[in-house]
Amino acid sequence: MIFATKPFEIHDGDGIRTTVFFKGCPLRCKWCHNPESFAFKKQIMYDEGVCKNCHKCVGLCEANIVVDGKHVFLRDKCVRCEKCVAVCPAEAFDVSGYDITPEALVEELLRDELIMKGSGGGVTFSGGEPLMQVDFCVKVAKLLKEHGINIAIDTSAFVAREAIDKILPFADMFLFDIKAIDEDVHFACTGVYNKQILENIKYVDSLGIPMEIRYPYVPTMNDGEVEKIGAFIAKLKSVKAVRILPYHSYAEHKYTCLGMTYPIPDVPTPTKEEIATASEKMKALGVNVVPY
Amino acid sequence: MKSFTQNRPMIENEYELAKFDPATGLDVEILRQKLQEIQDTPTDEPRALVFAKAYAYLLDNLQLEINEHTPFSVKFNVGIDYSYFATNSILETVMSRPQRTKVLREKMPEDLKKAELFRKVGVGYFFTDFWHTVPNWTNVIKYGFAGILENTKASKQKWLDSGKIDQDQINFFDSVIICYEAILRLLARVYDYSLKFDVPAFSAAIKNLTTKAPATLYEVMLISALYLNFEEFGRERGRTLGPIDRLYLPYYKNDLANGVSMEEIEDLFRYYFMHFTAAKRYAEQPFTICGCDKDGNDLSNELSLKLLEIYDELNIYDPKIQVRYHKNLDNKIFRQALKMIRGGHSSICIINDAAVFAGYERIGIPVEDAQNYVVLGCYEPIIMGEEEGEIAPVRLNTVKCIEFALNGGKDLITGDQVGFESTTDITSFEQFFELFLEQVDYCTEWSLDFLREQSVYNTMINPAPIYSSTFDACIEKGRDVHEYPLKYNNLSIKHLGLATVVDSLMAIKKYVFEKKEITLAELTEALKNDWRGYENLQTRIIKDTEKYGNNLPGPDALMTRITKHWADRYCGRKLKRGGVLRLGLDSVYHCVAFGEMTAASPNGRNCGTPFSKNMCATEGQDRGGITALMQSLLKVDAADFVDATIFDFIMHPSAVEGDKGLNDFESLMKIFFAGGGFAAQGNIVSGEMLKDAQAHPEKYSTLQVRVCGWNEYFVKLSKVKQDLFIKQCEVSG
Repeated sequence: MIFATKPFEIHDGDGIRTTVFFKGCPLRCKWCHNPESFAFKKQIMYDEGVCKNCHKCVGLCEANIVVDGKHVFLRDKCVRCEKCVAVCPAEAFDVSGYDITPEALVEELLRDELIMKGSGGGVTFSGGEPLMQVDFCVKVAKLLKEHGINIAIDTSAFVAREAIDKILPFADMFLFDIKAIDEDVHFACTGVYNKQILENIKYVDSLGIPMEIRYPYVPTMNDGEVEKIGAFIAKLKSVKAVRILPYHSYAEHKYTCLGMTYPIPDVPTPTKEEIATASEKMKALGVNVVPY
Repeated sequence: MKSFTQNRPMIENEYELAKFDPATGLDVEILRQKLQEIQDTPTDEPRALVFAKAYAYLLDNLQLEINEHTPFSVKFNVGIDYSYFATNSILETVMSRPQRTKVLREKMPEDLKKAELFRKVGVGYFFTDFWHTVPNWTNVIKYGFAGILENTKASKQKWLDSGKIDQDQINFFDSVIICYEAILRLLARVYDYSLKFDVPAFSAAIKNLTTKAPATLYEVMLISALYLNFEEFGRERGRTLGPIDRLYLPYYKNDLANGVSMEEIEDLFRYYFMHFTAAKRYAEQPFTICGCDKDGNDLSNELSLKLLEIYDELNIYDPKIQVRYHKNLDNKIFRQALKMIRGGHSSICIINDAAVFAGYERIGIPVEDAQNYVVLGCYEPIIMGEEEGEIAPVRLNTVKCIEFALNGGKDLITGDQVGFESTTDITSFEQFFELFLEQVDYCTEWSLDFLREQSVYNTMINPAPIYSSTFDACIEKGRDVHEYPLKYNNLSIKHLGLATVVDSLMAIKKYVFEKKEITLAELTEALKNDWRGYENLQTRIIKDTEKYGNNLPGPDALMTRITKHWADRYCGRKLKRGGVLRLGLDSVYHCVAFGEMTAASPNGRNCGTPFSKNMCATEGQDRGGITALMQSLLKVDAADFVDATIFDFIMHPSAVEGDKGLNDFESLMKIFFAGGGFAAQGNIVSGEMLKDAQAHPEKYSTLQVRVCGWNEYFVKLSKVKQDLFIKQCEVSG
């Protein structure tokens, strides 16, 4: 199951790419800007602010009712029939997640073949965690390779070694996040420990496959990890570039639309100076930090 | 003289703040009355001479102002409202426009009535297009005003000596002579008056131009600026400064060789650009740079890049810049243009030589001539010196033709029979599709008939001695440009609303004939009632993702069937008056104005709202993003539409940031052009930024957005137009 494909993506690898967002992720990074990627199932997103109170969705199911003349969406009553999505003229409802066959997905991706090849780009599998659906990934990758499409894998690396091995023959590049080296910090940030992640990164590195590493810089959460992450990366030999991604809270609204609570409402966005300092610290360790 | 930076504030608003000296001429109201008197006095005198005498009177009596803060010091008082984008000199408002109505009422009254009906229901506006001209700048610069006058006199004498001259030729020659003598008298007045001010360089240059061709870069710029004024005072509008990197290069080099410093030259360009910025007429004179010759050799030069860099530093939005792209273009120049677009310079349009050459070839014009094209107005190529292009005498609203096809040829709002009377007993989509094409053909053919008839009277409406005399062919043959003496005398017709039409046809195909959710008669009723009672269906149709602009086979195939039909039928059609028909799919703002008069559309659009612009998807429907839109657009054979198949892109600033962003932007543009794309223009803005600008205009006074062939300050757009941009950004940006 995927929840989106996004063409003209320039931040997920070389050239102009189309990114496939897979649904479902074993991590729960507190700053995640794709909360719709957490669950492995379809979800209804509802944007109350967009609702025009036309009440067209009311009566179609038990989840949409009127209270004091105002439409209310009862998420716990939602059976994901999607009737509300179809009738809402204001587009206050949306569905996140859909099943698609590898063939249909590839057909869609190849619509941008001209752009991918002309720009040195390709397709990036992202998410969510794409390698949680590695067999599907392999099927898609095989078909893409028949057309000579470059493939990048944007993974948390919190997956079994077998999953990595399965996708390796098709991966032209890996994009890894390193959120923290200290395992407790990592646990606090993501809900999982990082041993498997770091081991997998070292494994891919040892195979000489080009990789890009991103460090999501989140004040008060993992901003103390700069030197440790830098030191870890400095020992790797296949890293083409490192990008420091400044935390932003743009996704807060998405949490609301999913009926979730935004986990870190009080965390500030980092200043340009903070990012510059972190970048300099990493560069001092011999790490090739490039602007995001 | 103070520095440019010190002078700039005194130039930026010089048109609004102009204080014309009453001692230098008559008040504009008195001039207006005199022209009115000329217009109203019955006379047997040929219109060419009536015009020339009125023009000379205007120039002999208009008031002057000298601004000491710029080398382009002089301004003339002819009643032009510089807050309005169009030409509106008093000669135009008092003489030319009423004359058109008078002539057409007398000569083709029934046609004029029907043209007015077309306009009333919003299917088409008709003009006599004096508003898009490309003077032969080579001659203006080579001969100067005095040289043009001498050449005219010499040609007249030659014809007199031959004994074969006719009265029309005599009238033409005399009208040119009267007008240019008036121009030289005016320059002499300007010179005398300028002596009262501290503008010695200006005085000396003006003095030279009263007797000679320009000799320095400054004089070339000055005569160009003056020429545009003088053409406009007579009603035409020169809508390009020409290929100025190439035109000005010899003078630039000569100045440098004669000891003029680079700083002085750069300053001259700053003042020159500010001269056009100050006029604040956003759709006015662009200039063209770069390009290749017929063999693909790069024609850019050191001035090409310099002009871009100076412009960039000024952060202005006028004049517009049209960069002729080709695969051998110096990449430094190309990247500089892209960097400027990324930085907010939406005044740049990039146009593809290969597509333009192919387009000219399609209408029978060889690359040997096509290589000399410049870009006129928005994006229309015109071969300077050889081609008179009436590029916008009519624009047709094809969304209206969906109404006609549904409603037996009648307008859905007014009930007027405007299209041809057709059946409403339609049993298949193919039948409806063909009927739609027939309704468009009916409107197109009628428009062409109207324009053919109207063009007979062009010289009775507005003779063009100033503009005509820049062409060798006019001077040699003794003919006004509107008598079509040039090598190419082409005419354009533009079909508007393509995406809305395609999406509407898709909706009819799917919901009427495939799913059978509604009959055609019910749909017609729903549209008449602006979807009232059918809101759920309207919502489903709007949400249906099978729309043009998403690189989807269904809608794109419909789109190419339509465009191919138009191309096969009209592209390159020979015109009886000489020349051929050119096609374009650019809409300018008519998608808003026509939209107001257009009933609800089957694609879910509400009555009175804008329809799709240029080659864009219907607003909010390009869900597949910029690459999908681009590829949908590339399915049109650009060579069939030499006037324009424009790629309007909107990108979020984050999509082009950094070196990688610029590289990818470059790749995207090169892919587009390699795929045969015609021209690209766009905006690097975000929806959030535009919403904030709408709420807090004071913070965004310099935010520019590309509208059509021009860009404007976003905060000065109407709310409807602002909302269109915001909607586009939210989907595409």
